[in-house]
Amino acid sequence: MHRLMFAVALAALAGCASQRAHDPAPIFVASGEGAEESCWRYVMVHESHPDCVLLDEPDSFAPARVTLATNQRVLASRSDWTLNKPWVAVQVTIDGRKLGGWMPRSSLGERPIYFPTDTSVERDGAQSAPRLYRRNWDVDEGLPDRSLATVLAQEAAIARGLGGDPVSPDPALVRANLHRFGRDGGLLDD
Amino acid sequence: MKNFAKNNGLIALTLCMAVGLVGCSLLQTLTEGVNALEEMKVADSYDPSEQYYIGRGVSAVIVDKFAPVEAKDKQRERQITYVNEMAGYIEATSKGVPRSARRLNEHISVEKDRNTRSSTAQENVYNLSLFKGFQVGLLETDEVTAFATPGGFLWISRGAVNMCSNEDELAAIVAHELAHIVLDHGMENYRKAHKGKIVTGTLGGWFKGSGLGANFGRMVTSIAEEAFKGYNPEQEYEADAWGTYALAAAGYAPEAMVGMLTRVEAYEKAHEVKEEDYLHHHPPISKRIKYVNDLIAKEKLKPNPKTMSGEAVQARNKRFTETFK
Repeated sequence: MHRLMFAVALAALAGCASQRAHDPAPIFVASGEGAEESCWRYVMVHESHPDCVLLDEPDSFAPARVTLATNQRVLASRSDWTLNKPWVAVQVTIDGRKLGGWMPRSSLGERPIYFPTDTSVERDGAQSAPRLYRRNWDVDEGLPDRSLATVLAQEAAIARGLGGDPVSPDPALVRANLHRFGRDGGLLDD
Repeated sequence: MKNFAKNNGLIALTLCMAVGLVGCSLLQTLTEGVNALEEMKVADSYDPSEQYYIGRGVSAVIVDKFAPVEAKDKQRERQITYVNEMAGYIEATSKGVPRSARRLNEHISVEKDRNTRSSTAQENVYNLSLFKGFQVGLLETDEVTAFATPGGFLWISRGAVNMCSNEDELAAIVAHELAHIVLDHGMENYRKAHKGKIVTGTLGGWFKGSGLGANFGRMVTSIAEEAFKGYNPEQEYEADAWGTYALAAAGYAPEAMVGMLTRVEAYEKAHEVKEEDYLHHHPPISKRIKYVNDLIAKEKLKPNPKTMSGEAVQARNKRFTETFK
């Protein structure tokens, strides 16, 4: 039993060490001695958005460490934020484990989103469009419902084409497709 | 606005105490009034998910006017995916390009045909997060036109695609339209033109008990009308500048913006675009071309030799031709 625990602890330590070894991202210290001033920020993008992830490096096509959730609270480097840097060093705690990495500033905000999307309503696609509006906005006038259904069908086609699913596109697949687009077009200098 | 709301709360409280006749119900009503005023503040800065719904509504108005290309077959499906991959790729590689009009203008010192913005461009509260990223649709019309709505929706006509001779020029259209979105031009115009109406409408909504939502239909129609009219000259210059930076960051030729504008100029001449037409709202194309050329020279936005190699350019043009021709 003790051997097993030791092995698990060793594996965990090795994991942390190897993560640090290949990790150019500053996992900044959020508290205690040497702490960098930090602030709470919220993930402002939908789970299907390719930026809804913690990245290894300040680069959209860097490997993702973990997928985050809309409105998830993250600890952000205050200096990155106040200096308006396009990339912000971020730390999240998942299952008691602190993970550091990078997020684009444009995917973070200072407060949670006011109206989160109700994906269960969207699942029904075009037919549910008027209902979705009325639910979220209490609209009972003037919107061309048929056109709205067309827009939703268009969104579904885009989600299928980029993320493999018309309702729940896979953000990892979206990122891979965007990267492939750049690479195939000879646009990436790497 | 917050202070104003707080002051109103104090006035409400004082009123209650002074008159001494009113009970909790009026105090509650007045507090709700303060909340409604707080709602006005929210109305002035929509969050990304709200902007997404606004953009979706505006898009409904656009496709009501112009038939969209629907994913009915493999070819059309490929076309839709292609333009969306392009927009997503440009967005992904342009994180370092300033995403607020004010910061962009601080960065640029190239002279336009007029002075800097007549109004103070708002530093966006959210640095313009796009809730679901960009959604690019194609319109069946042969007119050369494109629309960008708040929340990340972008519509490009077949006429505009057919006008381009290569992928880089199409990327210039996409980058220009993305700029209108990331620089918040649609909402900026709406805020300027309808601020009073937002206030009136919100308070009206409060009295009716239906809140901000009752104005949504009118709001999307109004933003769509602005989109049909076109953005103002300052915003067009900003979009040209942001788009040119974004092209360079993505590995495209920044000169593709000039190439695209030159084609628009030729289109205008060939079709004798009249004053009442939408292009009239844009600055003269010749001045925009000069502005972009000056910007490229001054900022030394040189094409990347690797991404502009014969092989790379050929790969892009091959897929562009296969997708659209």
